Amino acid sequence: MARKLILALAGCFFPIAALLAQTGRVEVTGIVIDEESVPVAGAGVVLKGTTIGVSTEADGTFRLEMESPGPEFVLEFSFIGMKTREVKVKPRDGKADMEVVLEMDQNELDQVVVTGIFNRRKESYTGSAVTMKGEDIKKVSTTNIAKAISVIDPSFRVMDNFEMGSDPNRLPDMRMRGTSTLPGGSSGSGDLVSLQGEYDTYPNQPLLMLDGFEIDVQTMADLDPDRIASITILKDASATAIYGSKASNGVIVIETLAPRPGAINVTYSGSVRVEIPDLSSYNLMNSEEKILVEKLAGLYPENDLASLRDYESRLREVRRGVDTYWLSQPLRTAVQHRHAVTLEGGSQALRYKLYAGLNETPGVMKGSKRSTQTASLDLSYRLSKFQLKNSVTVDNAVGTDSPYGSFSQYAMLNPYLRPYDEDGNVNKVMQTWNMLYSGSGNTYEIANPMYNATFHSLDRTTSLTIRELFKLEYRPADAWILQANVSLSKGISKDEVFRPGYHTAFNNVTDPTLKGDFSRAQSESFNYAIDFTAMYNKVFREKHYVTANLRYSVDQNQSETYGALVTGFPNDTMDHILFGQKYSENMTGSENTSRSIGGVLTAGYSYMYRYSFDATIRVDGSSQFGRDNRFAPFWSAGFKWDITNEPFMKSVEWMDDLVFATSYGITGTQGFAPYQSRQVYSYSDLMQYYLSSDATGIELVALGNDKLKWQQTATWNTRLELSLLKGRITARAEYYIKNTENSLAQITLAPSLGFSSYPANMGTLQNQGVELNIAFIPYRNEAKEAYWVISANSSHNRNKLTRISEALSRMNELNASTESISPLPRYVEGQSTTAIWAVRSLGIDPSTGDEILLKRDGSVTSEYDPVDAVICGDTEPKWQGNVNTSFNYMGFGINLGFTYRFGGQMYNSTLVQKVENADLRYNADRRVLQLRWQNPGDVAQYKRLTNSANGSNTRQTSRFVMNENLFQMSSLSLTYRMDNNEYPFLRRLHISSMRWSFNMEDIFYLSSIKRERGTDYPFSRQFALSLNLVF
Amino acid sequence: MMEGFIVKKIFIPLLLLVPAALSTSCGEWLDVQPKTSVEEEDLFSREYGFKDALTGFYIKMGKTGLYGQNLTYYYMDMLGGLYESAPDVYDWSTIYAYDGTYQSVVNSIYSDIYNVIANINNFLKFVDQNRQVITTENYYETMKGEALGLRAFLHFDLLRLFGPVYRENPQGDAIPYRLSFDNVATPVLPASEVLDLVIADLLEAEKLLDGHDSEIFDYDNSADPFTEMRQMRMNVWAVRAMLARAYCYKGDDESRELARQYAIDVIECGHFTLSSYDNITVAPILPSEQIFSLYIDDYYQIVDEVFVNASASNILSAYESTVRTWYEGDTDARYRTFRRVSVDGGQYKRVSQKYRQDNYSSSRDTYSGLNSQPLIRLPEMYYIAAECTANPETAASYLDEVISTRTGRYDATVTTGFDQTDTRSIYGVVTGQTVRTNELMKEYLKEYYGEGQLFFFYKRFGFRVFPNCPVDEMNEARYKMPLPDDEYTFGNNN
Repeated sequence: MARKLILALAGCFFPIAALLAQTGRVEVTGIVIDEESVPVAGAGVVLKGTTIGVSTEADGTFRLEMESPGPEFVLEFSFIGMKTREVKVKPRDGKADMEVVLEMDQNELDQVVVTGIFNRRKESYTGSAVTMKGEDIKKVSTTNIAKAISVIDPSFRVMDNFEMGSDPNRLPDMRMRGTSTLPGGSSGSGDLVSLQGEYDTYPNQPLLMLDGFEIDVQTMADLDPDRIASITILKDASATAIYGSKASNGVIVIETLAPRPGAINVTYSGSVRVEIPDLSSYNLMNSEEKILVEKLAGLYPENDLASLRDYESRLREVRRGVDTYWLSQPLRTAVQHRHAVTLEGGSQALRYKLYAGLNETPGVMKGSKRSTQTASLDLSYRLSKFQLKNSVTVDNAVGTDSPYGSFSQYAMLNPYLRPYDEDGNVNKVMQTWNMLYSGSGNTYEIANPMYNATFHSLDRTTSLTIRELFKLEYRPADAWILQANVSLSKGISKDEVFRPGYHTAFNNVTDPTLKGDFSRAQSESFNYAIDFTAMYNKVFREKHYVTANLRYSVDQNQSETYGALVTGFPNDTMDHILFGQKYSENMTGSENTSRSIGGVLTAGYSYMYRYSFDATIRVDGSSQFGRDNRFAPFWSAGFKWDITNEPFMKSVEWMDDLVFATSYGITGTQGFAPYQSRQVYSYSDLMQYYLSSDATGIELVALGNDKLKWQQTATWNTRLELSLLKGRITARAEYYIKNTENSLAQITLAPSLGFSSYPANMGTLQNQGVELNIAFIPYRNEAKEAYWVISANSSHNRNKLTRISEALSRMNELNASTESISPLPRYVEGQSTTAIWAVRSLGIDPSTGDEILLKRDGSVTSEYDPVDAVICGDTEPKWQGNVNTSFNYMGFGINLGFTYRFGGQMYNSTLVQKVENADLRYNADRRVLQLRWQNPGDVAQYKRLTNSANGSNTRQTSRFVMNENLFQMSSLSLTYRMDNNEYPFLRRLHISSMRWSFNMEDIFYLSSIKRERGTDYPFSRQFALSLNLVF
Repeated sequence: MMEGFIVKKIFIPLLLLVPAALSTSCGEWLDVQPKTSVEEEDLFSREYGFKDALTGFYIKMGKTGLYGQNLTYYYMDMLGGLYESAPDVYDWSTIYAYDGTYQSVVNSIYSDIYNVIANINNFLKFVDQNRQVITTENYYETMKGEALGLRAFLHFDLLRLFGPVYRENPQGDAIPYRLSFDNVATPVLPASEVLDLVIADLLEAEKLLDGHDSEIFDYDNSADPFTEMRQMRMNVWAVRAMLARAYCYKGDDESRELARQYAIDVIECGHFTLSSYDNITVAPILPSEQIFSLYIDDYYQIVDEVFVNASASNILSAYESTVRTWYEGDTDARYRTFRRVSVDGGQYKRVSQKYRQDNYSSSRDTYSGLNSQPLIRLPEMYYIAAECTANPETAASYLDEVISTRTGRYDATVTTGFDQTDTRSIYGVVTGQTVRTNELMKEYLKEYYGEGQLFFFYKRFGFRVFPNCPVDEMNEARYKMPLPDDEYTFGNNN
């Protein structure tokens, strides 16, 4: 509107303008926009070398009238956070009209904090946020975004998964700054409080946002790192309070690359990765050792002829040289590849970007695989004060699990067994043991897990998700921005598991209609969110910066699953659920709807960017909150002091930056099952006819707790940032205290109450920690584009219960009244929730071979009593972090990443399961032979050999609690960039630039604990070669 | 133009959505009702909800962890020594390892029963609180009476499983008796107190059901479908039969007399009749004798797994020679219902056919016994009467009345030295019990094969050894299942 008005006015005054030109005056009009075609308000337009100039209006237009400096002159266009641009002007008839595009400064990401809701100017932002660029991510990992973040920032951690290893279908369990709810765990009698793990997401997982969308872990895991523009981690309350009830675990904000203008731009990126299984943590016996152990353990008693015969025949196999390395049988070297093509371009008004990519990720276990295909189309359209953006993404994914089954089965098979018979067929039954201890004449068969891979079966998940995001932005006046966003996503997925009749699972089934099964579950989900945002930013008298942001949002998530089981599939060609002979009676399934409404107001004030204040208030209403308190308020306040902006610091030239900031706020936690507080009834398990009733059965689902309060986390965060010698040294230190009040837990109940547990607030859980980051640039030569960076980070977190609820303290009192026979209370004030409980052990008695245990009263016993358990360690390390170094020279780059961890303890379950409690009919760890007690007088680490199926039946004792110190080389990358200026052959191929990179991941792993890693699925080492072409 | 268009057609309508969304009342919009479940206040705001909840108790009791398997023909009868082979049992002595191999089975029996009791207690809270919504005549009394009867029935079985050998140690610790549904644990009570609470609940149930129970024990197309086939629910006669059982268990003279009276009342009430010899072989589940049974839809899917589809070496059965000894030849109608299975080595096994659902018709003309799991049957009333009648001849006549329908013999019961220690070897075992007890034991064994009552009989009399006993000696530790550890760790121990 305003622009048209100006043009109209210009038309009216044409005669005057002509007159002006004659008298040596000149009038320049025009508009200044950014790369996204958004008008730039307040940009400076100055005649070069003078102070003559104006600022652009709210709509980006300007009008500069002045004494003509000559027939040709240069104007300088500048704006904070953007590259200053000089434009030559050659007025005709004393007039010139122009459109100037200002590019974002290289360090744009350093100027603006992307919070996923409001973009905030960094100088005045008080929150603790760490931003990493897409390039940084790719230096660490070409596939695993979560891992890359954890290497760059120490507050973010991906929990080790010793079971699932490098399974391409597993999802990372992510944490930020410790846990705010109790760790999940068994509801066994040992644990006083344990949490039910029935959530889609882990209760301690941070909130994930992609381009303003809330996404699940799977979407993040499948995201192509090449599409990422930046990832921002929001840590403290001042940063996360805008997310209110979902913010306590921190927020990860991912932004994808926006379309670039210009003629059609084609980019290809691809990578080939090789994954090699890493079996270095296994230390299994070979066939000679194994048969010796079996003999020593008494599996072949002298008076049992049948078993002696078995022994002789197995020994003969050993003598023939049979020594099968079972671990390698289900494994392969996997070759994975990813390809993506991007097409982008357009004018300043209309831009587009089309992305199509596919990723084939076979895993190191034969048959396991994940393949994804993604297509997305981004459009943006600008019309003076308006901007419309639309983005549609389609994700298709197929995840397949290995037909070879769990890897642990292979680690158990004896090395003197042959996988194949003389004809090269897979043996179905490996070995038969007589039941030594029952005397019933029954036998115990060990099946060959490889047999199930000899025929066709299915275990796969297929999913298709469509996400649509529409954004409308309106800038009615200087300083104002209004936005409306609508996002929709629809997902369908199915799980299929098919096992034909000859699968070993049906060995004991006789009914042909029950042999072979097919289960299929279908899920649908539909989510939508609508939000409105108003933003106001203004600088008054060049001293007072004021910002105010308001947002209102509504969203709904809905999902539904239903499934059926069909049996009776005699052969493997009938791999569709329709071919089954018998349907199981009931359908399985679930339905879940949650809705929320939120309003958030953020206000900030900064005086000369020296002192900045921020405050946020958010009110959340959610269907997941109890009926009586549907709305919950959250808030935060922050203060920042930029000391370098003080006048007295002006003379300190070696100091670039010195910032102190502190914040406090209250946020909430997501990840709890809806309806948790209510006492509800369900029909689902009782959907059957009852003869003398015309009603349907219904039952209680859980014991509710109407006094349940929602847990809230109060966070204090203080940080200091420092930059010296023109960025040669940068450092950042943060200290936080997170108090989670009314921390939710499932309290274990006496079973006579009818339910094993109920939800309760167990008290206040405190996480206290320090994070340190330091980066040092020992060498820098900008002319040669050469620099060498060394960075290191470290974090320390301590977790304890600072106050326990009345319910828990009452329970503790009850138990204390019968102190001698009851275990110590597990949750008392001051105690860590990651403590390891075990009975103290004094080692193995050399004379008897039994373990000597220390009772709570200090006396010595050989009887294990769980009541004697005390804290013997803590799984939380004292310090952990990463060291990275990178060197770049003229387009060549090398990056090395290391991870370390020390000061924590771990319960070494390998030692227990594979040494002391090993069932020696199966293969076990070599230490079984070497370090066990055999004769009186032996000073040994482990108990005597036994032929019992439970081994020594050793329970949790301090003998297996070990100090964990870890040093790991997590990544190595080499990159090389070639431009067609330097390499003319590229021009002949119509390639403008080419980038090569080579990555290696998980190169070595040094740990003070020797244990098996990757029990159900092995770990791997990865090598990747990537190519990026811009045409 | 375009700008105005965008403002008018897109921005303003979108902005208007805000108050529109707000005006429909946030509270209401946020009140999402789960589709697969109902909140308790909503459920019990209609009479229908009470019917659903009550029906739920019976369906839950019929699950395999409880009376649909473990507490009847499966685990309970393994403990009673009625089988010599079973799927997944390699060493018969391990079945008494309640804190070892069978710990999880025992713990889940305990928690599953208490889960049903929790459902009952919540029902009982609302049945009085929302009494006004129960409008159909007799429904309030019937439903509340049934719920109380079931609460007593379930606690009584917990007492029999987890309590002491009552006649040796009536003050021994047994179980908590739950009277309400909340999160406050109640202490483990002595067996005698539990028994008194069982009897109190049963008496209250009897008072409520008396005169309000429809007492329809067959299909009746003209009746309200919620009031027919009362043997499938905790009816007034089932409550009285339970009183007979409970008083008999209590065992003092006064209680024995009460037990006898209740037993005779049930025998004479006219709703239940002893099957004829021929009918036993036709319908071995004996539908006309069922005082309280559970209906388990598609029961064949559960029972066939152990009685039909298992291989000959694993099938739930005993050797033919053993079963023949128990039934003293092959003339007993009950013996004739067993199926013969040949195993290696020229031997045979005998498999019970009580639960073979092919035997039973699904027609609605008369009740055939299809899909039923009997929990109380008429012969037990005769046995209680026999146990609680002092005069040996009168007592024996009750036993003989049942035996005659099974074998055609009218004087089978030995009365010589009736209340003296029996020196005879019964099925190869000298039990150290009286003649009366041994005669009763033989009948319980034969009659309740596959119904889970025999072990309780042995426990009540404290048999140190019994026929086909897999262990050397039965002692308190083997008779008394231990409460789950969590009951001590998290319960009320004061």
